[in-house]
Amino acid sequence: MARQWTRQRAEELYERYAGLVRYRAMRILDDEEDAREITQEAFARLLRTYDPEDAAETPAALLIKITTNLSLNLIRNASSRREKLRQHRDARPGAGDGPPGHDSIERTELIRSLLERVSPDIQRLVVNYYIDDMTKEEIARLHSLSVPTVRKRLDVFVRRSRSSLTREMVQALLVCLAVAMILSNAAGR
Amino acid sequence: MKLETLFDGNGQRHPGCPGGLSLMLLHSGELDGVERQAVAAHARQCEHCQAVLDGLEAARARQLEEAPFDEVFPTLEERLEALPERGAEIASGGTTREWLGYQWGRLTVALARPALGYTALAAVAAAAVVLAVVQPWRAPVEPDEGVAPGTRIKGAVALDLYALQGGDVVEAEPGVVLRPGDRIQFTYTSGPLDHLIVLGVDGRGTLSRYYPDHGAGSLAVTPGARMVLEDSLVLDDAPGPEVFVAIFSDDPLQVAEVEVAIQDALAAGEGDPRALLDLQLPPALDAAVAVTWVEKELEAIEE
Repeated sequence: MARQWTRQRAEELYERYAGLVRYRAMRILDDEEDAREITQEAFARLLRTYDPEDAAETPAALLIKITTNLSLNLIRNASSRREKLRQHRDARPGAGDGPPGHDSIERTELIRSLLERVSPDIQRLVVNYYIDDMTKEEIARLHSLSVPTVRKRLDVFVRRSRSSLTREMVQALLVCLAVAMILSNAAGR
Repeated sequence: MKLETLFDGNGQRHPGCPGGLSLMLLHSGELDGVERQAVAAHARQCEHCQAVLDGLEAARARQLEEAPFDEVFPTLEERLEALPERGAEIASGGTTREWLGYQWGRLTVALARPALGYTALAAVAAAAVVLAVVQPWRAPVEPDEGVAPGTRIKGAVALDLYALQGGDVVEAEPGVVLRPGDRIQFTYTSGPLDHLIVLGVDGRGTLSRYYPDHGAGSLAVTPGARMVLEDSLVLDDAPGPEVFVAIFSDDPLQVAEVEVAIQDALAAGEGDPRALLDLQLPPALDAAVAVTWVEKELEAIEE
C-alpha cells in the first residue's frame, strides 16, 4: 500500500494525540507498561488506516476505536489480568483512601471484570460509557448508531451483569453458611 | 462503592458536564467554534472536567517522555509492516489483528458459504412451528472435504442448507425464499470443533432448539466439512424470516447459556431475528458461530 503520510506528519499526529491514547489505555487497563505499548501500536494502526485525503473519521475517532479494541484484546488474552489488576490496585498509593476518584477506580475494575459477559460489540460501548464517561449521544455519534440502539446494548450489559453479580453473591453466601456450619459442628464436639 | 449504584449513570460525570468524548476532542484540538468555547468555559469552572483535561495532558507528557517520537518511529515502521492491509482494518472498524481473527470466521461464513446452514427446523415440535419430521432424507453431499485435519481456524465453520422442492434437492443460498411445507436439511463444517448447538428464531421471535433436541449440553458431532445432520425438517407457517444459528465449540456448552446470549442479541436488535446474522457471542463461551436464514413466502399459507 502506498504510504499516506510523511515522518513529519506522523510526528505531528503522535505529539497531538499521544495523550488521548495513553490516557484511555491507562483507564481501561490500569497498567502503565501496557498503556505505553498500546499507544505505540495504536499509532502504527492509525498510520495504516488514516488517509487525510479521504478521512471519513478524524484521527481522534479512529484512535479511540483502535485503542478500545487493542485494550479489549489484551484483557481477553490475559487470563491473569484480573489478578494483576488487583495487585496493582493494592500497590497504588492512596488505594482505599476514598474520594476523589476512588469509587471510580473500584467501579472501573468491576466493570472490566464484567466485560466478558457480553459480546465484543457491546463491550466497546460499555468501555465508552462506563470508563470514558461518554454520553449515549456521543457514543451513538462515534459508532454511527442510533441512541436507542446504544441504550439497548448497554441495557443488555447491565442486565447480564446484575444477574451475574447476584449469582456470585448467592454462591458466596452459601459458602459462608457452609463454613459457619462446619465451624459450629467442630466447636460442638 | 455500593453495588446498587454501580450501573446508575456513568462514571464521575456530573449533571451538566460535557461527555468524555467532548473533553477528549477538546484536548486533541478537534472541537471547533461554539462547542469548543462552551466546553472549555465549562472546564475552567468544573473541578472534575479540569481534572480529566489535566489527566490527558499528563498522559501525553508521560508518553512523550517515556517513548519520544524519535525512538518510537523505527518501531512504528516495523509494526506497520506487520499489520494487515488497510482495507481490512477499516472494514472491521479500525481494529486489530486479533480482532480480525475473531471476525474472520463470521466473514467466512457469510461470504464463502454457498448455502446457509440452517440447522434449525429440526426439533420443530416446539412452539408454533408445525414441524413434521418425516423420513430421514439425505442431502447429496460427501463428508469430510476441505478442512485440513488438526487445523484450528475457529471461524472456519459453516452451516449449509439443502431444500427439497418439488422432488428436487437444491443447495439453498442464505435468504432463500421457501414455503411452509418445504423440507430442508442441514450440513455443517466444523473444522476441528466437535460440539454443536443449533437454535432458530422465527419471525415471531420464538426461539427454538433444534440440535440437540433434548439434554442440557451441546451435541457431540464428528468434526469435518459438509457433514450431514440427521433428520430433515418441514418448515412451519411462522411468517417472515427464520434465522438459524449454529454454535461450534471444543467443549460442550450449556444450551441455556447460549439461549441467553441469543436472547440478548435479539433484544439488542429490537426483536428482529435478522439481528442474529451479525451475532457475536461473549468470548467467555469460546465458540465459533455460523448463521443463516430463510424467508418464508406467506402466500403459500393460503394455498
